[in-house]
Amino acid sequence: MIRSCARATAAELAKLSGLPAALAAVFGTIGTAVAITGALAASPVGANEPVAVVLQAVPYLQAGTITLGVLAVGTEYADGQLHTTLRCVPDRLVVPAAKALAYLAWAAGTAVAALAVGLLTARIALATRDVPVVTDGLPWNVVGAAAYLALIGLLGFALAALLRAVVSALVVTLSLVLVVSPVLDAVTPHARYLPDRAGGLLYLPDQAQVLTPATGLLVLLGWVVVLASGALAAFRRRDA
Amino acid sequence: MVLMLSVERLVKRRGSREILTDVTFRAAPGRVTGLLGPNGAGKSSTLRILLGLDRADAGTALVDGQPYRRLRQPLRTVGSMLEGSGAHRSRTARNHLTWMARSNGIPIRRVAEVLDQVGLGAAGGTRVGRFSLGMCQRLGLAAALLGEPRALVLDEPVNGLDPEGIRWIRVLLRGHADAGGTVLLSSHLMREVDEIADDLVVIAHGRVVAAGPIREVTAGYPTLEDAFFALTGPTAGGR
Repeated sequence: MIRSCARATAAELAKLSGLPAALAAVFGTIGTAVAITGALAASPVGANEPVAVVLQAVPYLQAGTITLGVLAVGTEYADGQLHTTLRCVPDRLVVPAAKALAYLAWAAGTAVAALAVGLLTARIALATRDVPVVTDGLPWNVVGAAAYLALIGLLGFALAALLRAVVSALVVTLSLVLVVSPVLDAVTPHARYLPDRAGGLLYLPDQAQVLTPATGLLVLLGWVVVLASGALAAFRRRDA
Repeated sequence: MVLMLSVERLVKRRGSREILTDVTFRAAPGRVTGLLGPNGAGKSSTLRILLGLDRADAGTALVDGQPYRRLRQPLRTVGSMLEGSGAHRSRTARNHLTWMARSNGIPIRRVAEVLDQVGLGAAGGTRVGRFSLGMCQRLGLAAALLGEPRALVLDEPVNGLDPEGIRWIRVLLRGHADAGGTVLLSSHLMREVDEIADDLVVIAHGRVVAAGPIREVTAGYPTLEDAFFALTGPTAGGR
């Protein structure tokens, strides 16, 4: 069981590396990190501290890991690839587990690279403005931001499994985090239970102090688990 | 080395319609078995159940006495090919076969070997979306051969192949069966089946209407074509 899971995960890692769109998502995320942190740090009215600059860029970077999550699952439903996958690995639990592990590895790598490059860019841009930069250890909220970026992509992953298509899953997930969430946040305090708002507490403090980073994480994971278990039940029952 | 594919009283419903009714046959080692029937007869549905993709409503489809879904490294036992290449169009052929090999612990050198074997040695780095129908078919065959399996299950393998390709696959499948392997292929093309198969399973309207060695099935008819239309026509066999 463990060996077949390891093999299936190796296959899923290779699958992602062979998708030009996945590579574009990875490098696009890193490029976006450079562009946004550079612009924020160069602006005289922006934040004066590299960590604060990078954290402001996270809401844009999440589009990258969400795309990665959607692609990992959604591309199975094009060109009959799912039939190939299930002929290689007929176990309906091993396939999604291996896929989730491979996604998390790619997303974590992408998030860490984007944040590191963003920190560096912010530092250089601030230096050119002669803003003194205090160097201390890696603050908890940068680690939290990396975790958030990897986990919010799982939302795209789960929605792609439910919708079984790349485009509709991308539209739904991105409009949820980029449109619905900010709009609802302006309207009701209950918006804090939306997956991206709750998960965001991993790197931003809750002003209202209703949720902690830990409970925020649980709310985000709750969303993912509910959506993913619905998708999993259908995946196991349905003919491929 | 012996590997039997056995399908026993298979029933499959789609909505209220029964698309397979008591489908029973075997594909024996050392022989090429042709699953022959008109379009929509239930050939692909049968193979999809045998390969663990779809579930049967009743009956069993077994590989050496086991359902496909229980096989640990299925590509090493059963190589299969369905309609199309089964590869995402934006991948290269090599990436497609590489991930397949990884999933079953197959040495990566097999990827180059099967690409050469099917005549795609120079196209390994090409995106599958740029392949012709015939090249997709060859890639599907490369995938089937990847794990050096004892059994081959091929859905319409000659579709889209040029005459040279058809001849090539005929030699390949003959060689596989002569070496003791099991070959099950479906087709709606009588001439191709006539030239490749040792055993015939004729299917129409989701029922097996004749099965056995090809000469027995066609006995009493001048040609396989006559036998086929007599067995699968509106007045015979299925309803």
